[in-house]
This record gives sequence, structure tokens and C-alpha cells, in this order.
Amino acid sequence: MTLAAAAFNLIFIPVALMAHPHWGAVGHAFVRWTPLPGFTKDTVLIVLSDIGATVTPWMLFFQQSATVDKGLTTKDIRFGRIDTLVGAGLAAAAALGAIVATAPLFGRISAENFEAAQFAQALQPLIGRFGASLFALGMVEAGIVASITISTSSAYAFGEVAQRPHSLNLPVNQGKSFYAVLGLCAAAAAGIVLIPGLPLVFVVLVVNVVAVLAMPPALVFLYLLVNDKQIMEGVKSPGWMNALAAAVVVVLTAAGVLYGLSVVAPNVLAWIGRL
Amino acid sequence: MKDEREHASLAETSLVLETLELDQLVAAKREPVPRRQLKGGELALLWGLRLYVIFMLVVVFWQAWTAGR
Repeated sequence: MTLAAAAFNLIFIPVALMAHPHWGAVGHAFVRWTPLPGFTKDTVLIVLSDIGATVTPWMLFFQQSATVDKGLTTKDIRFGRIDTLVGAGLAAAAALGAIVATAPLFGRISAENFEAAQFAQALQPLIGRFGASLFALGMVEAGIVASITISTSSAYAFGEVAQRPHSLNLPVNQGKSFYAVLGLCAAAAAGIVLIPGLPLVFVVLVVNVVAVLAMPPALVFLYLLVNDKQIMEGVKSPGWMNALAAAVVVVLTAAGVLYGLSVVAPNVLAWIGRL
Repeated sequence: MKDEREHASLAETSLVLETLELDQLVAAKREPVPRRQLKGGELALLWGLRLYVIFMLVVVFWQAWTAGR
């Protein structure tokens, strides 16, 4: 069921096609990285939040727990890498679909004055009621998949720390604490969303920023783990993968430092922007 | 009769575990790995990252607080 819900994420691709994008402009934007808003504190916050929505610590914990839950072993490493690569590619394709679909709204509305559902409404004159409905369903689907995976990740983590049974293969009566934590996390998130007047867009941005800031220690820990000869024996991480991991840590840490500068010393950020 | 059933059940369980062990390494996953002794550089890196996260969380809370005022 989760796989079907995740596959529905690709709905953004046909929605993007319905928006009849100017492919020349899309290609130009890919190559030149334009148009971009000014290099300000808000831009840094949005960029960091975008990274945080894609690369998150809970994702690491979820993937390692799901790997154990599925009963995968060292024989499945190659398949696991292909699985991760295909998953990342499909997620990026869905994200690009969402960006291209909303590109006609660029400069007219932004996350500052509109929330997710209103983006679908704003798209209706451009892609019709059917397209706008698909876009809205895509947003709902993204929320459902996120709530399933993040809650499950928390339940896995609780089970590991508390040494209680933790597996999606368990019947409810054998995994009471696992399913209780899973349900409580989902219910708590739903409760927070329902708080009247809560600036949800800002909350999402801040949560994603925290995810980026927490990522380097988690990645370094993982780096040490996958290079530990005693644990990994003959399947230690190869050099090229270590280089890629180190590059990701450096980029994430630099992005975090840039964010810190934008808050603590906005003048320095303005100076960097003029370079 | 009851003893025979229990014996058969234990034999079936051990057969299942032996068969699965080759592919799923169930018993191997339960072997504890001794605590690793980190070297100076690794310790410094992890402590640096801990301080980085604490400092950055203060920055995030500061921004959220000033935005909320």
C-alpha cells in the first residue's frame, strides 16, 4: 500500500505536462540556475529547507530499520544500492514535475502568501479543474507517505532503543509498543497541524532546516560505521563512495554555516551575495 | 502425546531457523559488536559536530523567536 501511495507521487509529471511548459526555458533554467530570487536570508532559509525535505536523518534511520525488517543481508547490497538509486531518481523526477507544474505561478505567488492547497487552486485557470485536482491529490499523497514513513521511523527507533519488538511484519498484538508509537507520532503531527493560527509554512521550513543541521553528525557516524572493518568485514564502503559521502557532509555543513551566518550576521551574507 | 508434539514443534522451529539462517542471518544479527575505541581525530570530529548542532539549534530557536515577535 505504501509503495502504491509512493508511486502516486509521480502524478506531478503528467500535471507538469498539462501546464504546457516552455521546454526551452526549462532547459535554460537547468543550465543557468535562473531565475533565482536575491541572495537573502529568506532565500537561504528556503534552499536549506528544500535540502532538508530531501536529505534527512530520519530517512537514514528508516532505511536501515527497513533493511533489517525486510531480512536483507550482505548478499542484497547490490540490489539495495540499485533500489536506493532508482528511488532517488523517481523522487527527483516527481520533485521536478512539481516545480515545472508550478513554474507559471513564479513571481505571482509564493510560499509566503500561499499554502499548499492554494497552489492547486491557483493552478486551476492554467491546467483546468482536473489537473488542479490531480495536483491537490499529489500534495495529499506526499503528506500521507511522509506521515507513514516518519512515524514508522520513530517507532523503529523507539523499538531499537527500548529493545521492544519492532517490525511491520508483526501482528498488532505482538508489536503493541511499536504500533502505539507509530500511531501516537501520526496523531501528534495531526494535532499540531490542527492548532488554530499556527504558521504551518514556517513550521515546515524550520523543521526541514533542523533536519539539515542534524544530518552531518548522522552521516559521519554512518561513515565510521560503513568503514569499520570489524562490522563490515569484506563489504567495507569503497573509496569512491566515501568520497561522495564526504562531499555530501561538506556541502550540508557549509549550507548550515551559511544559514547560521544569514541569521547571526546578515551583513556578511549580503557581502557574500555581492561577490 | 503432548511431549511428542512439543518435540516435533521444536524440531520444526530449529529446521526453519537453520534454513532461514543462510539467507537472513537471524542469529548473526543478535551477536553484540564490542564498543569501538575512537581515535583522536574521530573523537574531535564527532565532538565538533555535536557543538555545531547545539549552536545551530540555538540559531534556529532565535530565528523562530524573533519571527514570532
